[in-house]
Amino acid sequence: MGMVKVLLNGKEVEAFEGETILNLARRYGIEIPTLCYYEGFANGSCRICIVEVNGRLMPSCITKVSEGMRIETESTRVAEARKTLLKLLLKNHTHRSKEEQMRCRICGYAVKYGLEPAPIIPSVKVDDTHPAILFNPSACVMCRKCVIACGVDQNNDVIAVIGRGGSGTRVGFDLDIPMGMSSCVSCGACVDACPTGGALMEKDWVPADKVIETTCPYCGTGCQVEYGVRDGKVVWARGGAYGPANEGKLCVKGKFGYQYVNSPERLTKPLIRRPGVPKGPLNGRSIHEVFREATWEEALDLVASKIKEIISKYGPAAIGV
Amino acid sequence: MDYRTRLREASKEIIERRITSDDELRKIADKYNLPLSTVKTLSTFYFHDYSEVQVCMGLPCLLRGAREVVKELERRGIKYSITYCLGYCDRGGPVVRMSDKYYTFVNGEFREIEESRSDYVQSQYEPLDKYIARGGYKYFEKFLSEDNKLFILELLVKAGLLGGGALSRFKTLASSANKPKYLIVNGHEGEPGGFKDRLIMERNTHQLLEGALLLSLALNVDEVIIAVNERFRNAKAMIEKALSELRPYLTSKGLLNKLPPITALLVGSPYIVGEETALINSLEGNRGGEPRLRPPDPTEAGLFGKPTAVINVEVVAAVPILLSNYYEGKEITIEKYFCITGDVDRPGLYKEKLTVGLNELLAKAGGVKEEDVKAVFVGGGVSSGLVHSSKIRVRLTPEETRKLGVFLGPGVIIALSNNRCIVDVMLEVERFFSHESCGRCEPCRLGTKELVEVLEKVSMGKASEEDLKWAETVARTMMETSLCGLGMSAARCFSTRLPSLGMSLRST
Repeated sequence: MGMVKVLLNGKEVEAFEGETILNLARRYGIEIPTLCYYEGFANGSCRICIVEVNGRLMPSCITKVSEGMRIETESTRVAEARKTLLKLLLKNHTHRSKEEQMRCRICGYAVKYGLEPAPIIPSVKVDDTHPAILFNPSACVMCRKCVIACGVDQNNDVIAVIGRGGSGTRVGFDLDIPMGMSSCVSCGACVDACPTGGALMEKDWVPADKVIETTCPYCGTGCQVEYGVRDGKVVWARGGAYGPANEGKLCVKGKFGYQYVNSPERLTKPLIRRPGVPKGPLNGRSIHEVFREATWEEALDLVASKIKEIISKYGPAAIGV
Repeated sequence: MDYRTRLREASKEIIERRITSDDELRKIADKYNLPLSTVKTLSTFYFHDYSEVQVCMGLPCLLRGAREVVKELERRGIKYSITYCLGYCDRGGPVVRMSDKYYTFVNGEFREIEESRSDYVQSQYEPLDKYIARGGYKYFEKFLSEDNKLFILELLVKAGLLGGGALSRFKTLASSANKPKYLIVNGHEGEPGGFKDRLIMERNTHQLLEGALLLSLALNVDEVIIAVNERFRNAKAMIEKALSELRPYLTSKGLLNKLPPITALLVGSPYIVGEETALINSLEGNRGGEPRLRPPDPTEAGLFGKPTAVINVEVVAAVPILLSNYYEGKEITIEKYFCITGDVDRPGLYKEKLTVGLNELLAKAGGVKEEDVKAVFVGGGVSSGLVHSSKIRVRLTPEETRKLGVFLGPGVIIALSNNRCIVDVMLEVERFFSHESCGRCEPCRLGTKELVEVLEKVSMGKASEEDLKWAETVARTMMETSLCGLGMSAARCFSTRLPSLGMSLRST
């Protein structure tokens, strides 16, 4: 790949030919705000990431570098246009709670640029027909990340842009029906993509105290997953973008099926069958009538003694792993 | 069929049959094996304002009393929707479409527009023999034998129909080895106040086809597509009729195999589809005609990612005339079509040399005296320049009009007399832009909505200094950051029109 020289905020730097200005800036540790940016796709609809290139404002997420470019990421013109775009979004965007507002990227940028974050109006009409996802059109800013996530990235094609015009453009599901009645498979990619923190969100979302990175325990794919933890309990899950197996995506189980972690029925200790209780379905009996709790030492000793017994009785060929 | 083909065919069927009901859309999704959301997004993009009865709120119709139509329909209890430009802007009154018929509303009654009837359009059609008798295809074979055919593009530049930038891009396209290459004849004409391209397609059909073939040879393209606005069904029928006459003629001359095929396709009617990258998207079946990010220019990567020249109907139809002038040693000039509407007595289509004065042109249409004209929208109608009455003697040459910020191409002229309130006119223009925004980029989608709100306040005398400053900032940001020309035009209209008239929102 060829290299080109550009002026980035007055400093001459080397850029890869064909990379975007946003990419270049990030490599040099310069932060450019983004909303609709979706890694790997040319979206370019929100224009928040504009920068000044040779005296013209250009969206940095889709503009490729070229030799001799003079790029300013925070010039007065950039700041004014960005602020105006933010103001327009803030006028057309509300939240239902402070917590939602706190995780909204638009409101975060608003504070950064000295603007009031979007108002909190708890009693707006929402689509709560879906078992796991809540859709609040009042919070939506039409960045279209959910459309890309659902259609292009996950190939589910449930979410689409409906209508046209300054006031008539919005997102909808299938033939513009309630989300819960649509063909949604609940992969949650739209929720993870939504930059507003409230337009498409987990229905029972609460803020977490900490986030831990781990591997999804369900199937053998090895998806990387981040769990939000609050008071020692998992409260939400999202795909870890660094995972080579899933690149940030999850399926319905990984995204929404984490509650078993906190289930009282979850096995957390080894169980040993009580003496005299025959094998077979529980048939309504409590698990503790059939099994008793044991320590790992006791359980392993029991398994070892049983294996030895089988070998002495039938020979080593009777054991297989 | 692969996905792209299925998408294209589904989009074609949705447009052709104007499908909006969920039941029908479900059938289309089944038939082409596409997601429901895909067919819904196409249908709601193309027909977001569609209903059995549509009232045009384009500026020419508004000036002729479109609001009265709305009142009358409400009085009669008829449900309607508002749309922009149904064509027929010069038929004396505001235009209404009811089912498949078009009406104007004059003196309190709805009259069917004769020009919109297919039997009338048939009667105006010029058959191939008549076209040949007036000089059609006279120099076709001579041109075919020319080694360098690119001079034909220079003729268009000389006649003022093509700019220098387009010329160099077309030349690059002609020599590009990336095949197949396409010529798209843009017959969209969604501009309120414009009707010349439709009339050319309906009446000078063979001249248009010859022009398309001549250009296709010069540009060295492999296929010609005439993209017709789905509202112009008669025009498409005439093109197909002309093609069925033309094929045997070309075969008899042994030419058919030497020429690229021509097809006529319907594209969605929304204003934005007329933008060339949006037009290409519409032909490919992508969500409506949302514009594409540039670069690349369509001449590098257009239809199906291949080099594509998009040229307007009037320009294409001018080619045979200019070629005759060239071979006959005449001056390389042509009369341009002007569609005159607004405050004039005889709205209609006028053909004039590109040296005519705006005042002379208006005088032909009669009505307003020069001193009674407040301003005139010239060229691209509401998306182009507004010319103040003090400049009314301007010669309509490309150079002179460019100085006034006017793009002459679409040839739309809308006259405003002194008793029109410019703020109200601008409010209607912004409503048009907001209605027609594709909704993709934020500055246009939310900016047009914002400008409408501020202008509504101004119109009611309730706008504060702060409102006006905010609107000016919004307009500036729209101009600097919009994805395509629609958002930029909407903003330019707001921020440059009044100063160009020597007025300000603060004083009106």
